[in-house]
Formats: sequence, C-alpha cells, structure tokens
Amino acid sequence: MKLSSLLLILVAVLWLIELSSGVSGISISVALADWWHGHNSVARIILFEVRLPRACLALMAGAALAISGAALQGLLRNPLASPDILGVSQTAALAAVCVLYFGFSQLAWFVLPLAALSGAALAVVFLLQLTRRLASTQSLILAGIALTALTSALITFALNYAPNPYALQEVYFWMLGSVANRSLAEVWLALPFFVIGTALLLSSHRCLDALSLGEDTAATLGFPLSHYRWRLIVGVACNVGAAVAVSGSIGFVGLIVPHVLRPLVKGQPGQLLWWSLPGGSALVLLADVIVQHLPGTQELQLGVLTALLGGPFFLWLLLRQRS
Amino acid sequence: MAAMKTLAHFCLPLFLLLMLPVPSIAQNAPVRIVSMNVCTDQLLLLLVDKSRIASLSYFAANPAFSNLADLAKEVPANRGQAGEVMVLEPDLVLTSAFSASFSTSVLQRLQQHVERLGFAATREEVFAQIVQVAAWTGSSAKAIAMIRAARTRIADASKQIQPFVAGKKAVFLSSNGVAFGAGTLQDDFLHSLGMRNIAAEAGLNGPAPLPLELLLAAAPDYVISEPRGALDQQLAHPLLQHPALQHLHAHSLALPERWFDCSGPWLAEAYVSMAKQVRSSR
Repeated sequence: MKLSSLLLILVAVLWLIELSSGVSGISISVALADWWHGHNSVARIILFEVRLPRACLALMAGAALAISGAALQGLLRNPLASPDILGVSQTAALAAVCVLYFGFSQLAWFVLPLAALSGAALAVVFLLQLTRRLASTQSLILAGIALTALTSALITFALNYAPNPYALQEVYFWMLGSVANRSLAEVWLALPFFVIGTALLLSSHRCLDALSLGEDTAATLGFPLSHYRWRLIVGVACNVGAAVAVSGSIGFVGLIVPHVLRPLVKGQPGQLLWWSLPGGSALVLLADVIVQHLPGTQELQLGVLTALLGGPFFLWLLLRQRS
Repeated sequence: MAAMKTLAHFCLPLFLLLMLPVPSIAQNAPVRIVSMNVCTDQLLLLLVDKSRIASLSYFAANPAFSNLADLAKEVPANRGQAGEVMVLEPDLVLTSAFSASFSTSVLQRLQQHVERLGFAATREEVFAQIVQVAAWTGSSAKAIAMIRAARTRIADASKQIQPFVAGKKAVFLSSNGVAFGAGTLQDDFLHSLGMRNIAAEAGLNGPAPLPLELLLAAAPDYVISEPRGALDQQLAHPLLQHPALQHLHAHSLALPERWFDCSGPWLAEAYVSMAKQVRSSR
C-alpha cells in the first residue's frame, strides 16, 4: 500500500515538473490565470496545446511500454523479454512506416495505430511460436535480435521506394522516439488502444501468476491457456501499437521498469502489471524532463536517453543471468 | 547611395566574369558535361544546350526538387556513382561541395575534371554561383542576361511589398519542425524585405529544429512553408497543422523550398510570389 502511494506521488510530481519544463519560460500560474479569465494568451496556448499533450503522451507511452514488458516477461517466462528487445516495437514501426509513407494513414484516423498494433501482434505471435522450439531464454533473445535486424532492413527497404526522398532521415529521427511537438489529437488517437490493451492485460493477471508455476500447472489450475494467451497478445499489441504510433520507439522502458519493481512485489507477475503502469510513466516523464533541461540548441530525442540508461542495464542483466 | 549599391550589384558579376578565364564555346568549352547534383543539374539546363549535357542526377526530373523537371526528362539520369559517370567519358563533371563525396574523390583520383559548387547563403552568392557555372561551361552571356532579368523582377516585387512587410516577423518552416536560422538564403530573403526572421532571433544557425514553444512565444506575422500537397506523406506534416498554430493569427504563405535550395533565377519567383500572396492576404 505504501509503495503504491509513493509511486503515484512520484508520477504526479514528475508530471507537474514536465508541465513546467520548456524552452519558452512561460509561467504556469499566468497560464492558469489566463485560462480562468478566458484570455487566449500565448502562455495559455503553450501550456494547454503544447505541454499538456506532451506530458500526457509521456505518461501514457511509459505506462503502455512498461506493462507490455511486464506482460511479455510473464507470458514468455523470460526475464529478458521486452517489446523493443524482442523486435515487437520495430515490427509495429515497420507497419506504421508503411502506412505513413504510402499514404494509407490519411484514409482514416485509426489506420496508423491499427497498423502498428497489427505489426506488434504479428511479432508476438511469431515469438510465441518460436518459444515452442527454442528452449533457452537466450535463444529467444537472439531470435528477437534477428527480428529487429530484419524489420530494420525492411523499413529501409520500404523507404527506398517511398515517394519522399527525405523519408529515411525523418524516420531515423522518429524511430529514436520522442513526445515533443505533439498535440491532443495524438493523445485521443492512442488513448482508446491504451485503455483496451491495459484492460486486457490487467484482467489476465491471475493467469500470469499461475503461468509462473509452469504451463501444465496453470492448466490444471483451470486457466484456459490458449484463451489467455490471445488476450495477452492482443493486450500487448494494443499497448505497443498505441505507443509506437504516437511516439516512435522509446526503447528499454519495458525492460527496466518491471525489473526494478519485481523485488518490490515479491516476484508476483500479476501484481507487477499494476505497478508497471506508474513505474513506466515515472521513467518516461523523468527522461523527458531531463532531455528538456540538457544544454544544447537541439533537443535530444527521448529514446536516446532511455537507451543510454537501458543499454548498460541490459548488459548488467545478462551478466547476472550468467552467474 | 542606393543607386550606387544597385550599380555595384549589377557590375559585380560582370567584373567577376572579366577576371575569370572565359573559354569560348567554339574553342575549348566542355561538350560532354555530367552533373551529379540537383543544383548543378538545373544551372546546366539553364545555361547550356542540351546536346552538351551527357547526364544529370536523377533528382533533376523530380518536380519536388527541380525547377526544370520537364526539361530534364529527356536527359539520361545518373545516381551519382563514379562508375556510371566514367563510362560517359565526360570532359567536365559538376557536383556540389556537399554531395556524393566518395564518388567525387574517386573521379578526381581518376584524373577527371571535377568542379564543385559551394553553398549560397545570400542573393549575391546565388548570382555569383550562376556566374561561376557559366564560366565553367562557357556560357557567360546567357548568365548575365538571366541575372539582369532576375534583379529587375526582385527589385519590382520588393518595392511593391516592402512598405507592408518591413519590420514584420516571419519564419520559414520546413519538415520536422525545422526552421531556417541565420546564414541561410531564407534569412537573407526576409532581411532583404526588411522583415525579421524569428528563427535567427531565437538563436538558430542554419536549418535547425525550432521548438514549438519558441515559435508560439515569438508570435510571427507570417509562417512560410512548402505549398500543401508537397507536404503529403511526410511525418513532418502534422506540425504545420498543430492546433496551437491556429491560435497564432499568422498569415500562412506558401513558397516552394526548391526556389531556395538551389541557386537560380527562380529566387526571383520567390519575391514575386511573396508579393502576390502578401497583397492578397491583406
């Protein structure tokens, strides 16, 4: 109980710091006063149309990626699993890039998130098939690396035929992950998929607990495994699809957050799902506050910072697995 | 004083031409010219007879980047590879100082005559580049007439709108939230009309991302960007439609970036089009 309130307070504090961070140096109190009195001032526009969407997206993308990581680690019973390491985010990005650069994203508002979601689902199904054949945790990670390399190559391949020759450069930056310069439209775009995905994952928390005892035990405990497997796959796909569609690929959140929180929930995968939501939000908000306060004329991409944290963390995890 | 300045502008290219060794077309002007860059492509098409152009870069026929895409269609295209240029046995290879540097160094090692065009950040540098390519290709007379016509059009258009736009704040927005700061042709363009470039005032050098917050806080009177349609199928597209920009009450003007990307008389088109749009937006 104590931990939950601590995490929620941390998220709330970081969210407020995020709202007060920005290059223009406007005052939040002035912006709120203008809003109260109905003045359409620059401060109000910056707060509500620039900073608010950014803070909401950081909150949502972090939660979505972290709960997806927690769910994948439980589903695959692999502590090294996470959407970006297994290539799930990249497959979602491949699908997103294809609809973006060949004009399909303009057909309807849901085409982009739906495409990203389908890509993510396809990757999870593929990985699940692989786990039947590959025994060790390491070989699944290797399969994920192969999937990442393949989808990265396919993205470059697709962009080579995109009508816009600057596409490659744009996608390179987009793939690094960022929540800057977004609008509330992106929040509304991702929100339904995030809510549905999170509901699907949270409703499977008991099955994840049972799965930690092994598939056979879970089956004897009365969990229809194929049903829950699909529920988890669609849940992860919705969350990763929503996050990738609006913020590119912010790496390592799905790996770091469940690992940091796991000891605090005594290894219960089901409970870990709940904790991962505020945990992921806190990490991405913190990273986004840091990139906004780093010196330099050009803002660092958010995903670069999470990768700077996540890369060494992943190596440390690998070494700990060995010993 | 102003008259003196105009005279100086007018005579500078002429003077430069006299300084340069001008080969006459009849004697030793190159006759198999290859261009590997979209900027030199366009200057070649303008200045040289098509029979002397052996190949142009494949961007030359793309209307998004080339002002002379139709003219380029019949000329064989290259992808900037040293091998495909060698087999054409050119007597002059033109490229930019910033593109395909591996190919360029290979060609230079193979004793090819390579000339590289630099970067033009002001109107005068644009005209100097036209003069430069004309000198390499032996077509100076054409260049002088072209520059004279462009100067007249620019002066006329500027005179029409200067009283209305002088002192106004403007910004050139490109894809990915990139704006054109100090040291760009866009910056020179705005200053030549007596306008303020908010990207340069925000401390941007060259083309660099302008944070949305700074753009909103600067409250520009004019936001200039690529015409709609050309922006489709870009991730960068949503920024120009960001709801916060709707609150700015800025006039949005459309000037294609290809008028600024490469030196040429189309810079005058930018002034003429700007004048037309400013008058109709008032």
